Amino acid sequence: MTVIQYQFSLADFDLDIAEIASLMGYPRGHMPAEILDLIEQEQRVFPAGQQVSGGYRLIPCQLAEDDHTIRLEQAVFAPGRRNFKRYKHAEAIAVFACSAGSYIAERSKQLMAEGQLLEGYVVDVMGSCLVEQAMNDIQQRLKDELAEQGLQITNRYSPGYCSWNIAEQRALFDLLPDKFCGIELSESCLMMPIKSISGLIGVGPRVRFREHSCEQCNSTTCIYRQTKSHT
Amino acid sequence: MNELLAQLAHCIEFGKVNKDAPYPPDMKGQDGADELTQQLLEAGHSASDILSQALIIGMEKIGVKFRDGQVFVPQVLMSAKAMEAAMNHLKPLFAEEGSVRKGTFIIGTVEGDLHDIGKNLVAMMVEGNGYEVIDMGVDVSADAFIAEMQKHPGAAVGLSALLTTTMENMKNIVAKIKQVEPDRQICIGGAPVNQEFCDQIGADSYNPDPQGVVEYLNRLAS
Repeated sequence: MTVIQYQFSLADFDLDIAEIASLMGYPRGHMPAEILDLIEQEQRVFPAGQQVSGGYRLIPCQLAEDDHTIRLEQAVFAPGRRNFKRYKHAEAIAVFACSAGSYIAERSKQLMAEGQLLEGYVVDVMGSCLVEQAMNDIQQRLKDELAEQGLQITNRYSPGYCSWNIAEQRALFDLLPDKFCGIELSESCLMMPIKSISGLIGVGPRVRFREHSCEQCNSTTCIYRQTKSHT
Repeated sequence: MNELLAQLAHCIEFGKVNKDAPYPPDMKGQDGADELTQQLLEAGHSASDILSQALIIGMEKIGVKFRDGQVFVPQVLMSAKAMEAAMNHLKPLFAEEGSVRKGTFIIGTVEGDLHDIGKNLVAMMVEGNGYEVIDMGVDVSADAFIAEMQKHPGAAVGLSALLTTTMENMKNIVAKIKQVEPDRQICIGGAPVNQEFCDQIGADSYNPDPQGVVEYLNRLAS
């Protein structure tokens, strides 16, 4: 099994403050100074030695148009008709996972438990941003490497979004090494550490990357939908 | 309305915790919720008057703004901080005054789910609107909810879930609660939940935002 894995130092991670503001709902430049101070304060105490890690495994795929399923080795995914269309023409799938690590989740939980709800929330959003940003980096590297072979990639899509049954994460993680990036699944398919993401990226010469894809999803409650960069 | 009460309501709405707090910047150096509450008590106002004529008013304003998309989660949490500063003065006095809260609300994130930000936000808004809140935390089983309900007859129950997988647990918890106490009021919320799901599982209320929960509880209390 060839698996590509990257690691980033949490302490050196260049967090995108504008994206954090956007995830919180603020238009660019409108985040209150207190929140910015809290972010900087938390960044300063990020412990050395903590890693943000992510990676993927490329697997040839078989797409079944009749029932909108994707077969990867022995696993069959049913991402729903709408998601299936996004993988149209894919010849392989990059099965990915990425985790911000345990520090962020534990720090947020600790702050919340101490009654510091604002601080806990800020760290939680920092974790969401961190893991997405790390995966953006990994996805860009994948895109660049495949471009040399004349291949393109789709956006990344995940079980749990756009009506894709979150329970399919079990099959997804079965395709990756045990505890890949330190991630474990709970009985309810919650990834632990909690600031982790996983999903499938389509690969092929004819697949398309869409700049904005929220309009194709019917979720009205996804936090990314509310941000300017995802609408 | 008393000027001090109005000022306190303003501090709650805009998240001014105390005089030293640098935020919001346009209130720098001014007394915050901490000092104003102390001043109101010294001036002879009762804890329940301060709660009903300042804290609830401020929290209601921020709740409505949040529902209308005029402010975001951090501002609501800043208001919560200001409210907490005021409540630290008031809580010991509620028992002394024998003042009655509007009701009791038991809230928790359902079994299998560890997400708590939405649940915390609701808990804090409900408390700020004059209710006693029993926050059971995350990953709460039906049995734990039922045990708590038995300690608080008449308390409404709030269930939160963020995962589609734990919506099933929410359904089971509602069923178990209704089996024990068919008339117990249950409201549900969380990203994957909607009114249709609420109707399906036999819960009594679905609200997409904290202010909705407050209004639902107010209807029960009236």
